[in-house]
Amino acid sequence: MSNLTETYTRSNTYKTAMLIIVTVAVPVMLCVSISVGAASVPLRETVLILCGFESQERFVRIIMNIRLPQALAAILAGAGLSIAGATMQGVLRNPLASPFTLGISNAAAFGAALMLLIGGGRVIAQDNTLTSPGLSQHWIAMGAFIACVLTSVMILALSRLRGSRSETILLLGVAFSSLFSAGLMFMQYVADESRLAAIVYWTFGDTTRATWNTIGLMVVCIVPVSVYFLSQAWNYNALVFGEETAQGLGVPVLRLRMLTMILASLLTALLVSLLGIIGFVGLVVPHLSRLFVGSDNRFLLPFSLVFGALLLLVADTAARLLLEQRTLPVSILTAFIGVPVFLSLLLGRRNF
Amino acid sequence: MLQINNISFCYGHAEIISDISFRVNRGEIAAVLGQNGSGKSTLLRCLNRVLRSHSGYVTLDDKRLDKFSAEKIARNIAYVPQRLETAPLSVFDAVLLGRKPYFTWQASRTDFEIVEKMLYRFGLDSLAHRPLHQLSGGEVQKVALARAMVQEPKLLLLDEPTSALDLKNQVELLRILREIVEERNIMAILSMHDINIAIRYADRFLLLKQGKLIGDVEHNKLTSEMLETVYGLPVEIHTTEQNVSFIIEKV
Repeated sequence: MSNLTETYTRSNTYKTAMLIIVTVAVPVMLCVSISVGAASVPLRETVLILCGFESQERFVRIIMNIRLPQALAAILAGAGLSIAGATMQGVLRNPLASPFTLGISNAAAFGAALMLLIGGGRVIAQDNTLTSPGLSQHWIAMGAFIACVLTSVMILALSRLRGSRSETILLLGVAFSSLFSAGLMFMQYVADESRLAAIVYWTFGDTTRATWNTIGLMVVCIVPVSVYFLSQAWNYNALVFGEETAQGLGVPVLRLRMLTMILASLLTALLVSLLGIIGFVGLVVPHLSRLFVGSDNRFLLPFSLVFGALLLLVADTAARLLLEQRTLPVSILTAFIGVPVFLSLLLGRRNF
Repeated sequence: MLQINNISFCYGHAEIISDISFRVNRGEIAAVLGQNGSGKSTLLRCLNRVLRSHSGYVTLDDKRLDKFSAEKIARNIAYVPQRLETAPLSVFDAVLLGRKPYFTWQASRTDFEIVEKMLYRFGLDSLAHRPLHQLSGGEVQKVALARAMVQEPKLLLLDEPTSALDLKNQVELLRILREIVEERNIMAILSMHDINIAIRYADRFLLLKQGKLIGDVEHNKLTSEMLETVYGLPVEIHTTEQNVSFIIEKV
C-alpha cells in the first residue's frame, strides 16, 4: 500500500475508532441511567440485574418495569430519529431537512389531537399520565401514525409532479407543517379544558410512555430500516455530488430518494406516535456527528445512529434528575439543548 | 463502436434534439460544437440515459444501451456534467466513487491502486486529502475528470470539461485525455465552446444547430462555411506551417 492510500486508510481508522468509542459509551451510559433517579439503585446491582443475576425484588421491579423500558426507548428513539434526519439531509441535499422541517411531527400532533378530541382525554396529575375515556392509548398513537404516513405520502406524491426535486419536497413539507399547525391550533381552541390539557401534554415527547410492547415494535422497525440506510451509504455519497453525477455512477436516484424518504418518514411516524414529539434530535445529531467523523455517509450514518442514541439517553437521564418530584419530558430538554447547539454550529462552522 | 440511431428528446412539447444519428469509432475523440441551447448537453445526457430519449436508440459495441442496467451503463460510460457540485468529502473519496460501479460494500486493493495512479496522473496527489469544497473550480473539474477515468469506461461523455481551466491546465488535461483514449482504445465525446482547443484535439466534429445535427465531419474536413452555419458568424480557418489549424472571426 502506498502513501496516498495509507493516509486515507489511517483517517478512516480514526473515524472507526470514534464510532467504537461512542458505541461502547451507550451500554455504559445505560447502566448509569437506570441506576440513578428518585430511588437510586447501586450500579453493581444494576449491572447484575441487566446480566440476568438475582437481586433485590425492589431493585428488579424499578429497573425492569420503569427505568429499563424508558432508557431503551430513549436509545431507540435517539437512534431512529438521528439516522432518519441524516438520510433525509443526504437525499434532499439540504442541511435543514429533518422530520420536523418536513412537517411529519406536526402531522403526528394533529392526528393525536384529533383522536383526543373525538375520544376525550385528560391528564392524571398524580403520575402525569394521559388517559382517554373514549379511546385507548393505541388509538391515539394510531391517529398520530396515520396522519404522519398520509402527510408523507401526500408530500412525496405531490413532489412527483415536479420531478421529485429536493427543494419541492422541502417546500411541501413547510406548507404541510403550517397547515397542521393551524389545524392543531384550531383544535386547541375548540377543545374543552381537559381535552386541551391532554392535547398539549401529548405533544411533549416523553419516553415514560414506553412499554415493553412498544419497544419491541420500535426494534422491529428500526433495525431493518437502519440496515437499508447503511447499505446505501455509497449511493448517498454519490448523491452529494449532484443527481447527474450520481446517475452517471449507476445510482437509481429517483428510487433511492423515494424509498429513503418513505422509510425515514415511517420510522419517524412510528417513534413520534409512540412517544410524542422529540424535537431537534433528527436535525442536530447529524450535524454534531459531522464534527467527529466528517460527511462520508459510510461513517456519518452509523455514527449518527449511535451518537443519537447516546445523546437522547443522556438527555433523558438529565430530564429525570432535573426536577425532584417529577420527570421532565425529554423533548423540553432536547429543545433547550438543541437550539443553542444548532445556532453555534450554524454560526461557528465553515460548511455543512 | 458507438452508434446513435435517430435519437430525439423533448421537454414538454419543445423538441430539444431531433432525429440525430452518428457513429464514433474506438480511439476517436468527437467534439460536439454548437451555440448555447443547441442541444449539446441534452445529447450527452441521452447517450448515458440520464435522460431517456423519446425515440431512437443507442448501441455500444452492437449492444443496445436501453437493455443495460444502470450499473452496467456506469461500467461502460462515464459522464462528467457541465455543472459540478462540491462537497465536504476528500478528493480521494470523490475519485474513489468512480470505482463504485465495481463493488458493493468495500473498495478492493485494486480499486485503491487505480485511484492512486489516476490522482498522480492528474497531478492531484498533493490535494488528495483536502476537502473538495475547498478547491478552486478548475481543480474540482480535474477531480471530476479523474473520477470519470477510474470508471474505466469504453465511452467518456464530457460536457464542457475544460470550461473552468486555465490555458495550461486545458492543454494538460486534453493531452491526458488523448493519451488515455489511445492507450485504452476507448471513445470520447466532448461538448466544447472553444473551437480552437477543439480543433487541436478532436478527430471528429458533430455540428449541432437548434437540436439538429447539421454536420458530422472528420477533423480535416471541417470548413469555415460549416462553422459559419453553426455559429451564424463569418469565420476563417487558417493552417500554420506546422499544420496547426486555428479559427478566427472574419474581419
